[in-house]
Amino acid sequence: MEFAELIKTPRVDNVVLHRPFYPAVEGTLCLTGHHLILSSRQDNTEELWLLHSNIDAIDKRFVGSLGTIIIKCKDFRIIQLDIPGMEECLNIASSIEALSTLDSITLMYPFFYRPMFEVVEDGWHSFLPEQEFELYSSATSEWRLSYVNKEFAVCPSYPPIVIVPKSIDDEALRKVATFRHGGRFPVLSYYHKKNGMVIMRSGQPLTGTNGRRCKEDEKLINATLRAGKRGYIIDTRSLNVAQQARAKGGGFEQEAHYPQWRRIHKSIERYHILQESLIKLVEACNEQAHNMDRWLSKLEASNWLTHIKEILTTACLAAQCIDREGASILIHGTEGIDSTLQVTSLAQIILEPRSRTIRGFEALIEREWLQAGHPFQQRCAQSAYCNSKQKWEAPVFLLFLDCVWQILRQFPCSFEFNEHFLIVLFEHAYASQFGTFLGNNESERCKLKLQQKTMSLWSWVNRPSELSKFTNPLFEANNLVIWPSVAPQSLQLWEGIFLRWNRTSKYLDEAYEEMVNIIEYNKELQAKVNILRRQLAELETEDGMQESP
Amino acid sequence: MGGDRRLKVHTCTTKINKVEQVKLLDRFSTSNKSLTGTLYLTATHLLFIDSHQKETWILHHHIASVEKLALTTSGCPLVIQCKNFRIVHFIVPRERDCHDIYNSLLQLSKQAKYEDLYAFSYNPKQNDSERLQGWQLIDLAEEYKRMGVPNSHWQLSDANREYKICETYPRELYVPQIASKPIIVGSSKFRSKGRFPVLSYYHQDKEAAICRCSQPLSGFSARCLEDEHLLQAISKANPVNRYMYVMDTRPKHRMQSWWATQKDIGRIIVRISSKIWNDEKIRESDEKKRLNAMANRAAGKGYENEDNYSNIRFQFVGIENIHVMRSSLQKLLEVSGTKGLAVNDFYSGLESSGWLRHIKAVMDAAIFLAKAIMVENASVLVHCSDGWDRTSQVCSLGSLLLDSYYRTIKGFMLVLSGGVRCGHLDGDPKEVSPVFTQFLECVWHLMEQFPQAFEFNEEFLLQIHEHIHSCQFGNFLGNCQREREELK
Repeated sequence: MEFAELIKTPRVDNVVLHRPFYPAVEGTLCLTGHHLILSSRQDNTEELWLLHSNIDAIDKRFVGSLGTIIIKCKDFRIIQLDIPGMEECLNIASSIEALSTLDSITLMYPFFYRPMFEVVEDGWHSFLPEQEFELYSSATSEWRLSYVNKEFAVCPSYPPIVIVPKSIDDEALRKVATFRHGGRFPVLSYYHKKNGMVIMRSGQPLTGTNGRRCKEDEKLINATLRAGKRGYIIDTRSLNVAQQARAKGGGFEQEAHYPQWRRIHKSIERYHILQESLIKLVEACNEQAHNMDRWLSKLEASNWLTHIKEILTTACLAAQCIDREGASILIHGTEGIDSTLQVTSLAQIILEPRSRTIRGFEALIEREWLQAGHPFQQRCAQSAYCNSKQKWEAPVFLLFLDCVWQILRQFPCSFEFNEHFLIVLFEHAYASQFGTFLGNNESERCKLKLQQKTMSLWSWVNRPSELSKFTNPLFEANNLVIWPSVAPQSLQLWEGIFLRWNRTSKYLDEAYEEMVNIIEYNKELQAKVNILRRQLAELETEDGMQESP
Repeated sequence: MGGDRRLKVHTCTTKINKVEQVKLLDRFSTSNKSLTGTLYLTATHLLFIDSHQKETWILHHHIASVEKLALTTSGCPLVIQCKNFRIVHFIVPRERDCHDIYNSLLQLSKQAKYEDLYAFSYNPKQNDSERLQGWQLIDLAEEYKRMGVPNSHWQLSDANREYKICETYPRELYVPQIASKPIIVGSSKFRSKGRFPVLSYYHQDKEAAICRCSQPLSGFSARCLEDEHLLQAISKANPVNRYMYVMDTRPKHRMQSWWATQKDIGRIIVRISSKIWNDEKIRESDEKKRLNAMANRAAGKGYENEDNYSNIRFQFVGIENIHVMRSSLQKLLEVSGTKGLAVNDFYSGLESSGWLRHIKAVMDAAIFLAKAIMVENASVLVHCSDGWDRTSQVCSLGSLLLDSYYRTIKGFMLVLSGGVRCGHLDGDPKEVSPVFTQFLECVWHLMEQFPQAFEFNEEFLLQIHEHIHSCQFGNFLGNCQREREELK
């Protein structure tokens, strides 16, 4: 097999492992095709299994013949291996480097992983577009499923099935696709049952400098408006950026051609600016012995919370248009695969109680991220420790999860899932044994035959034993729209992610356990009370019957 | 009685007591929504009842500032800032009414005499025995007994029975067994406000003590043998570890200028340490040399002879004074109250307020204190200038870290009353201290990190914070035990 060539030294004894919250442990280091394993011979519990794909960067140092490899993981953990012998250390380091940056997706672990659990429900079929559409079709007949992209020919980043206005035929969709960036013609993202308003998303219109227009495009989005109603177009770029885009063939909807629409520009950052922000933030969090001023200015300089605020503000604006103004909206940025998806998915968290349940949130990620064509493979190729500075690497999905966490923190009882669930999604987006986040869009996933060759993350997550770990004990279904505060005073650093390896969560975990126990106990007692009440009622009616004759 | 007083104050101070059609702005709404209702002024409260019969009560004593803004088309805006940081925004339709309310509130909120405070007219639905019980909850003698004092090393001193030695200390004070009354009296004359070193907390297992005092008197030129004796006595009262820390809670940079004008404390330290070396006769030049070294060390320039000071270690922790804290809190409130801030403006505002830096300084000091006792088994003497604000804060927080009893509701009340009893400026109607707010925030931070370590919750801290200012209960009235006894 190919891996054997990359592993010059598969095994080294007397390696010392240093990692957060554990005492240093000495043991045997083994390299396999997909894992770095360290096991101490005395005790089986002291094992480390690290996926190569979780490794973001490594540093090596030598003092005499003792080598040290510092491994920086994509989940922000930093571990250190002390390896006796210069040659062994160099071999291990070069193997890790090669194995953690494999080019071919089909060599990745999900293609080799054989689950040790019984699959109750195949996650690959848990969220089929047809089923999702059924949720809407009971409420409206104005929309239809279109199979125009069945062969991925109209839009390579769209799924085979999309939801479009019923009055627009596939031929028109093909024409609109030529007018939108990446072929991403406007499709339905969300239908607000309360008032029938919708969120659509697309790529930017390709107006260019000479103001090209497309009658079918205008007709398509106008078809979503009720008679006499106006809609909003939310452009996630500032007006300036949108104007500059015209020079490269892109652009925005001109008022003259879209008189029924009001355009609002917001500015959400993308690409390397986000990546740099993440790098700075993680660096600040990892720095020991800060004084307070330095910490605060580093936190500020990272701009991370500014991005959070921008994204949440735009999502709130979208939700406001729908719920308060009673207007439909179209959202796009440039390509419609980053900031657009952050906004459409967060707006749904705000508006739609279902998306705050575990199933609903999974469906949301499936629909608005995976099927909508967010390029996970590219965006999550590297994390906070990388030096590669590729334009396509960006923590877009992590920012989304952070925004969800901010809302979760403000509405602790309105979500069926807990923080832990969000953390798991973050981890699996960057490195996983499951195939869910592989590939950049449905077309690529289809070619890779992920459904046949890999296991879906949802197959594992949706097992009762796992679900219980992700369930929020405080959850009480809240059928209202929830409006988060986006003031900087209300936003917080997500410690569960960013300080996870710097500060023990022991006491917080214990408190959480205790809370779960109290709630469980309360439920038990409540059940007992109900039984006793029923018995009492029965006894009373019996008494009544005895007395009456 | 309450009713009579209410009537009296009513007639003599307020011109106006009811205004209709007043608007209360909803500060949580983004679209400037408001509630319309009626505003009442009573002897003790401002009351607003809106059209849904929802009541908003604000105690006059809770009002930090009243501001009348420029007249608008809808009326005259009146902004009331409360001491618990709440901001209430009314719009009064007629300017004359607004002006009357404004004047009345100014008068009502500035009752500086204790008799006028609400606690005296507060008439809760409880009988005398219950009231007595409330006061008995806090029995310091019982508390020292719990710590295992008096014992063979520490005794109860009656030196301050008539408040003659120190007006701001309580009657019952605990001092080392070997400290005689003349030593105490001598030391108290040498210390600012007579606040000589006394026991604050005793750690039974470690047999180590936290003691507190004020700084040595300014303008002092000669040494004070009694004070030196007392410090020695404290260090000897610890059978496990003879060396002790003297912890100055003031920041170094302030000490630098302080060193320039008065080097008394340095002299004492040098004298005490020389005494411990049995080197009774230090020559003047020798003393100067050591003093300069000490000053250098205070300025952070390092000091080689640390080993020579084996019995007393001098420790600075940089907690700023009350004036700095007050302006810091003011800045923090400004920043946190500003609407529509950018994230970066908020963080630079937060940083420049320095509030969290001060919080960290207090926490660092408390951690140092707890570590000295737990890890090094050493006794610690804590002082700042007068030995109330910062010293109270650090001693209280330190004992909270050390002793789980203080994390119960009953124990925490003891910590509070301990701090107050030893003279803490809170409750003074003229000078409300940010130090107490800061202390409660430190406790809150601990609660965030150790959610299961406390019997009480955040709500309890908020209630205490409110009552500090509202004076609804007698505990925080008066600045020290003596004043409280006079007030009954």
